[in-house]
Amino acid sequence: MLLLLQTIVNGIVDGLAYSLMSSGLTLVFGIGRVINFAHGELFTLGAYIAIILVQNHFSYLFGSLISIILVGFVGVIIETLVIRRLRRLGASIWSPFLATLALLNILQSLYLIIFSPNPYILNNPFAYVPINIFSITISGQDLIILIVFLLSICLLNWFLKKTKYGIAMKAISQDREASLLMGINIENIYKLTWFLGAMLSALAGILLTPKSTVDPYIGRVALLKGLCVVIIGGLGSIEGAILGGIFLGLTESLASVYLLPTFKDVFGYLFVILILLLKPRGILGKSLRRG
Amino acid sequence: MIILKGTKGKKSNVLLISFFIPLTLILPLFIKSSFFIHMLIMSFINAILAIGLNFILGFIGEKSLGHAAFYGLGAYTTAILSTKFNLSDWRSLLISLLVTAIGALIIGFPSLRLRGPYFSIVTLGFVLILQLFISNGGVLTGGPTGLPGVKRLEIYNPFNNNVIVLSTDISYYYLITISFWFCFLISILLVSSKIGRAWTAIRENLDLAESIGINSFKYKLIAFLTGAIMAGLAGSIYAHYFSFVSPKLFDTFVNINIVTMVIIGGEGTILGPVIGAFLITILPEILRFAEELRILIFGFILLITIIFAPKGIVGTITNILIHEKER
Repeated sequence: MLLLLQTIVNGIVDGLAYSLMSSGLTLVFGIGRVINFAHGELFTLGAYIAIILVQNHFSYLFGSLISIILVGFVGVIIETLVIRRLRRLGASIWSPFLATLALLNILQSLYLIIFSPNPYILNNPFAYVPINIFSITISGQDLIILIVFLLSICLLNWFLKKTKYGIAMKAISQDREASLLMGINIENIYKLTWFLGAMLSALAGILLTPKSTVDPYIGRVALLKGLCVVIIGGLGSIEGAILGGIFLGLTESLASVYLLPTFKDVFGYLFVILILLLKPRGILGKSLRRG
Repeated sequence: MIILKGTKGKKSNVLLISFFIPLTLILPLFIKSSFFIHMLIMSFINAILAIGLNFILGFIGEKSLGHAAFYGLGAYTTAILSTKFNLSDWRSLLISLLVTAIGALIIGFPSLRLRGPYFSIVTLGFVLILQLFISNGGVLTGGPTGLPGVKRLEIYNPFNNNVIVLSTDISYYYLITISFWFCFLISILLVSSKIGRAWTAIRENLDLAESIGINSFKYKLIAFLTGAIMAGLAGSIYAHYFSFVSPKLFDTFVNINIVTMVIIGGEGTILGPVIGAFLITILPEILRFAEELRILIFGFILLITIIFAPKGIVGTITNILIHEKER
């Protein structure tokens, strides 16, 4: 019984991590209509910048904040230099998608050249403190993830639903031409979207990497788990990303305890394929064409 | 008409091909460098992969990111048959192609119903599942370190009634060149047939194509299956040639590389993937980049191509030639 409870709790904690990984991805897709394949590399970038700052005697909190904002600006640079050009060319959805794939290669090899393949550790003094609640154990980092996750999702929700910019984002995602006619500065909103999306990717990187190490290849895991989650939840839906993340976390955690541990990741993907067969637009997904 | 769309007649295609086929066949007589032969073999393997991917990616317009799975499947089937069952002749080649085809059906049936980004992500997902299975396959697949000791291909010689073992690089050069021309001609035949026209119709307007009675799923499956079998062939030959397979053979980087070849050469053209494959294979070797730098430069080349020449080399040249003609 305790094992089952612990497994479920672990699954939910992992699931929240996955939701966090996918929230940046889903935001950029929902509004910018771009699957950001460089998402995982922004995740890594966040972790690397934080590591450099922490090594230079910044605190984990302060270093993380600076890193998140810097990565947000990298997102804006990607939007202005690459994605906007392609949008102006009137290219299909495929070109930006491919461009981010190229960015993935570029950033990953830059990390290899600058940081070498050796693993780095993002030090957070609170990360390894075990916390017992009703004889179920979670680590300090898990608690931080839980709190920051809830906070950031509430903040994001407030931003998207209540502020002028959030409403403008939603308008663009629903009808680009009409929002242009309503006087929304589309270019600025796209920049803002990429800023927020990249910030969320970096946030995930900073929160999740203290649980393991940082090397140039960790972005791949973040990207693939993120893609899994957004597909389960439906591309472009934040609520879907949360639900999808918890679904995936629970499946993996239960499967690795009660079925085969080595094939943990396969279950996640099989689950994704099953969902796509039953609901080709994801659990909470909307039609792409109408979007 | 087909090779450089809209610029050349069928006659010049025949001339072009009848010039290049003998050229590739006599090339080893003049080149003694084994390194160069190796580069050519790898280029032809990549060209077969790119031609196969171009069916679904260029002609249908659905962006598969799962092509490397079939390459891996072909290579691993051959390697397992050769090392575990001591089978490395035409039968193992045939079984490898069959396994790849079955794999393509298993992947194609669920995923070809999806469109756009969903299709891309699910096909990518299948590559990762296959990688996980092979990395955790234990003794059968050799796990993450790979499977060494794949035997050389044996070919039955009907004239002397004996078996020839292909052991030299030159013999593999001929094997892969013949396979390449076979795939290339199949690709010309398919594209200029009714099937190719159906593909173009589906790419240009799926709803319209279906409304005039084109069964889009069937034609997508044909494109997917043909491409997969070609990739399986490339993988199988690679396994015999290199005598070693590992999960790295079809990892994400290789996968993106194949896509890059098709895009740089020109998606939806016949010659494009071949040019792309040769460029991407040979260029870094000539320039002798370090491994990390190579990926960086590939990334930049891909990015610049997408922004400035989205139709690739062949597509852009064709456009220029058409404009010249109109003027």
